[in-house]
Amino acid sequence: MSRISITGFHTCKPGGGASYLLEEGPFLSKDNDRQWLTQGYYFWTDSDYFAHKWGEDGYGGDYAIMRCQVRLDSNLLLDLVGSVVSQQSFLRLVQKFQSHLRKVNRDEAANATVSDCIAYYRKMEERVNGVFPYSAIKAQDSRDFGNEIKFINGSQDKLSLAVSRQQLCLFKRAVESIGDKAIVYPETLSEDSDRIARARAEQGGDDD
Amino acid sequence: MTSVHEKSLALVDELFASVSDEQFMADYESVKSGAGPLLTDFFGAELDEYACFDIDYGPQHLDYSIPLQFSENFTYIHFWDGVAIASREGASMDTNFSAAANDCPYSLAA
Repeated sequence: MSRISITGFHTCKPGGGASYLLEEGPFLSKDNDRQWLTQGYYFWTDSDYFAHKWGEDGYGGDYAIMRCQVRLDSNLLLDLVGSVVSQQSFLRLVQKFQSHLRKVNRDEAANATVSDCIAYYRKMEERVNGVFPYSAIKAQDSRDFGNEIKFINGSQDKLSLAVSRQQLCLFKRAVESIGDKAIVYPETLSEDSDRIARARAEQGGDDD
Repeated sequence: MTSVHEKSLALVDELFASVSDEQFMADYESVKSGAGPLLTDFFGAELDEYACFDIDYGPQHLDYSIPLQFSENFTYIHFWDGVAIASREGASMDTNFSAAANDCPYSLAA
């Protein structure tokens, strides 16, 4: 059983100041049908690039970005970006879900989404321990995947040059996995965040 | 050793073999996309050109994530500085927007 550490960037509103954001953030998403990977703490992984894009698109340019370190038992991460085993497992989970739904209600089967499937299995996990044992899901969408280049001449196999939008959704039950919080944008909040971290370090306190 | 993935898939097989169609659909309906309340659940069908309400989600509410659906009574939903405004198709929101945002009789707690 190994541990993994993922750097995540969480976009949020800047209200309340650095102290408030460090204390209360990151923020749990709402439990509604707009959440691609169901309810959780959402992070753009590795780079703040998409956190800024989301700040511009989703918050109209008035936003803050919190950098966190998410540390998890690797078994608890359903990694649909970097793990073939996770991808195979999720494919079969989706197929089983769709197959059963088709058997019960053919019309509904065509409308079921990734979010529906995950939400269903998360609900079942509340009843049967182990059905969906994951505490986090990492996924990417397929936007811009058309930008490709051949690996070698004489072959049709290609490498996607897309900068994929990779997200981590950490479920509420794993909130303790979030650490090393720091505000990295905007600059004023980042400076306040650094000041708070230094003060805590001088006092010998935890920076979380 | 059985991996968590293999155990999960085995338990799913057991689950689907034992759950009744009615229970499965009830569980599915409770979580599927679009399962949020209809606007008319809150306001009824007898409303004027637009309806407006505060969204009491605290300082970090996300305007795009309101768990409400369109209905036949309200075709469009707009967001304005923490306030949601639903309008009938064809309503002139240009003129009503500010006034509606300043006069919100309804409040929906998250």
